[in-house]
Amino acid sequence: MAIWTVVFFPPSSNKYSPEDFVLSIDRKADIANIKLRLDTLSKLEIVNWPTGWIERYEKLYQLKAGDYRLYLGLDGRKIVVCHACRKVSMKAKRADIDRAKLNFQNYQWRTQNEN
Amino acid sequence: MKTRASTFDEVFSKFADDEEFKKEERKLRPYYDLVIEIINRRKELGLTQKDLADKADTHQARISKIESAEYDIRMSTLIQIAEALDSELSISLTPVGKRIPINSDSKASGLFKMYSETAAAAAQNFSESEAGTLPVNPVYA
Repeated sequence: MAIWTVVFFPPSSNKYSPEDFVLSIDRKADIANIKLRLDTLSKLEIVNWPTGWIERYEKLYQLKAGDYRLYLGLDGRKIVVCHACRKVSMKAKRADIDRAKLNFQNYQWRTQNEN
Repeated sequence: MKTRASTFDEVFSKFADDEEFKKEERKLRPYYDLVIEIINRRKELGLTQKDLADKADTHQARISKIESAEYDIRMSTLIQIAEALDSELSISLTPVGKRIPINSDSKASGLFKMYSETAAAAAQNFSESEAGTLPVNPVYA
C-alpha cells in the first residue's frame, strides 16, 4: 500500500512539465522503469529508500533511472516530481537543479496560498 | 484556483492500452516487488544489510544491489535470503491482467510468507478441531 502520493508538477502542457518529458521518452522500458521506481518509493519510508538509485540532492532527491534523472521534492506525504531530464554527464547540470528547485518552490507557494 | 498537479495514475494511465509498455512493466515489476518485500521484512526484524548478508552467507554489496532492483538474483540466493529473513518464498504465476498489487502492509500477501503466520494458523486449526485428541506439536504450541 502506498504511503506517499506521487504527483507531477508543473502539469502537462507547461513548458517545464516533467510529465510531458517522461511521456516523450522513446523506450517504453525506460518509462516502465521510472514508473516502477516511483511506485517503489511511494511504498517505503524515506529511511528505507534504495540508496542505489535515489539520493538526497541539494534539498531535493535525485532519482536515477538509466540515462534519466528525476528530481523530487517532499511536501507532507506527497512526492512531487518537479523536474525530469536526460543525463548528459556524470555531474548534474546546474540548470537542471535550479529548474527543479524553482518548480518545487512554485508548487509549495501555490499549495500554501490556496486557502 | 487549486494547484494543478498530475497524479501518478493520471500520468501512467496513458499507457493503459499500450501493450509494449505493459510487457516491459511486467518484465521489471518482480524485481521491484522483491525490493519492497526484502526491505520491509529486513526492517521488521531489525536487521541491517550487513546482518542479512551474514545470515544469508552473501555480501552486503549484493544485498544492496538486490534492494535496488539492480541484480538478477539466482533462485538459490533468493531462498537463502528468505531463510535468513525467517520467511518462506512463495511463488505464483498469475495470468496476464489478473495481478493483485502487493500490499506492503499485509505480510501474507507478498512473495515471502512468514513461518510465524503459518504456525499461528496451524495452531488455530489444531486447537479448534484436534484439541485433546493429539499430542501437542511443539512447533505449533
